Amino acid sequence: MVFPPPSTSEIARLSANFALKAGARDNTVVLLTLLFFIMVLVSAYLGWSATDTVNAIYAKTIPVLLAHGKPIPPNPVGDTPVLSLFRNMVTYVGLLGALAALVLGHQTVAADRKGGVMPLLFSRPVSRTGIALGKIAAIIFSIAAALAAAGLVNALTMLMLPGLSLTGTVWLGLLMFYGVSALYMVAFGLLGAVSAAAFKTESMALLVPITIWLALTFIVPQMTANIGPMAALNPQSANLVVPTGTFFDIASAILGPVSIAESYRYLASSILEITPGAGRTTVEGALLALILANLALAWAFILTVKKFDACRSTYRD
Amino acid sequence: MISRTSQISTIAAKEISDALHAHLLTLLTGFLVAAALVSLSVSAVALHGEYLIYIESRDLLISLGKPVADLVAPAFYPLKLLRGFVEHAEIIGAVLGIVLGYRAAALERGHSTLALILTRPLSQVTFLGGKLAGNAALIVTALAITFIIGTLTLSTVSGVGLGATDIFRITIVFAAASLYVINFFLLGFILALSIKRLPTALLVAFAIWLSLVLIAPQIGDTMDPDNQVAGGVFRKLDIAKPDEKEILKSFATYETIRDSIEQASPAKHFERLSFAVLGIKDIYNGQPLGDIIKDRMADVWWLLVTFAALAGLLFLRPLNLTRLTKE
Repeated sequence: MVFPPPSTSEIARLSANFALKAGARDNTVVLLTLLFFIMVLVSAYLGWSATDTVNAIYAKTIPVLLAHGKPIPPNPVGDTPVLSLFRNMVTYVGLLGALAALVLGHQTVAADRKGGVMPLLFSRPVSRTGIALGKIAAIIFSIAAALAAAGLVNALTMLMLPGLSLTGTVWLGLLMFYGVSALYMVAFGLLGAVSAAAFKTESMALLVPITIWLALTFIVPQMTANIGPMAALNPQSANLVVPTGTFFDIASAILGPVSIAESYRYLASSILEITPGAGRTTVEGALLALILANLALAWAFILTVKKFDACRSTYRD
Repeated sequence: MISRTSQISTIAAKEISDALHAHLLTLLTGFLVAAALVSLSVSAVALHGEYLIYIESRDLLISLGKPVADLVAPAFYPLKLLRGFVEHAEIIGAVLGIVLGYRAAALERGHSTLALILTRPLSQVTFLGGKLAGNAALIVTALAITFIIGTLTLSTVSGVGLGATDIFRITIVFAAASLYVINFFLLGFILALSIKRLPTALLVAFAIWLSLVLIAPQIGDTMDPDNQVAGGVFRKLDIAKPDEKEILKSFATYETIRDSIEQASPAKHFERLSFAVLGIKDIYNGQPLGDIIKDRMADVWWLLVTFAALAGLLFLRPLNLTRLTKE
């Protein structure tokens, strides 16, 4: 009796299932995800602390202003948008989130390569596109699950803080922020997967995407908008008025579309209403840059898996 | 019997030769130089733009009848252009240190030569000392190249010749940067000699780097009460500086916690020292170097104590060869 080869969708489902299990068993992926969650909690605490401290300063200021005969201004907390409480999340998604996604993406391919599965798998009549699509689905699902849990922590923080006006717009904003964060993290997950499929050694497969991440986070924003390396960590820098001049016009036109760290920071800062928004990019442009980066990396991953030489698939440290 | 000094220099020379052969050091140094050059050039371009705006505004004021004597020309400090340069050394320099530390251990573990070497008449201290000496030489050379290119570029882009004091100040920052990067080398090396799987060691080192270099200073910065409201909370409430200081006395514990988080970051100590020496931080601008060093001595000690602690850990902790064999 001859069994028909499994369909592409069946292969994709099996591949996704295996990749998810392998990721959950990997200590490094678990460690980085845990670290990301700790930072989500820290961000929630900092949001609470920011409100609490400014309230306390305001209370201490009133007697001083009265003693000087000055008018009492309104509490600045009232002027602060609710979602800006989570402004640190922009930094943590950009740093730890991206690194965790990168390792997760790497692990979805590395588990197969280290287990010697590739030669066996690719000797069967299975669709390589199906395998790649399954791994992409696993990356998207894992990142979405992690961000959903992070969003839940933020939602609980907002519900616990007294005096916040939680309108439908605020909840929609939170949802949009995590949607944009998912787009950013999935791009790095895919980058990790492409590197794991393309390089011969695990160390290079980790070092190369980390170097790309470093360049995108700290070097490119300086060339397009004169945002210094440390200022790049501050979400408030996303909407700085960029310097004018031919150099920045050209650099921005060339590097803007690939500067996804800048696009993410701009979008996230706009959604969280951290600053009014005065950067060179636009919401549509930044969103398009993130979507195109994801599509390009997904396509590159499918192509790398299709061209993968299973006979030389050993994966050294 | 070969002397210990000779053994150390042989291992150090082998380490340098291996690193140059692998092109990894060249690649990372090139990346650091490129980042530093980008930073300097972009700062110069931005400064030039600001200068043109100043000229335009000045001409407008003069055309409106403002006396030239009333216009205060902006002060120009070329060393301030090194801000991004120092920050790149802080971020990418640390990565360079971690990768070299990782490579120094991975090389022996990957070839299974670690156990073999230590069966020879060679003490663990000599072996590790040779590795440290070789990599310290590589780090100092890589940073020296970066700083020399940076200094020459600074002089060219600013159009201002640097004096002997300026060069001396840059040399002090170079020495601090070398010590800072060597500390991260030790971190990467210790982890790669302690953790069973090499890629895990690399990722743990990067997680520590993220936490200490990027996240801890950012938390400290965010917790600053004046950074929690756009434009500053005290300015928004129209509070004068003396009253601000008085009010902040009630938040002494909060400030201590905030400062402690910042203090936990070796990057912050390197940054504070460098920004003070180069006059990037306004309060140190134009101050005598001796006074600045005296004021920032705590940062110097932090870098030295971190080095002593990590070196102590490296030399005093016995290597577990069974754990370090190739998988």
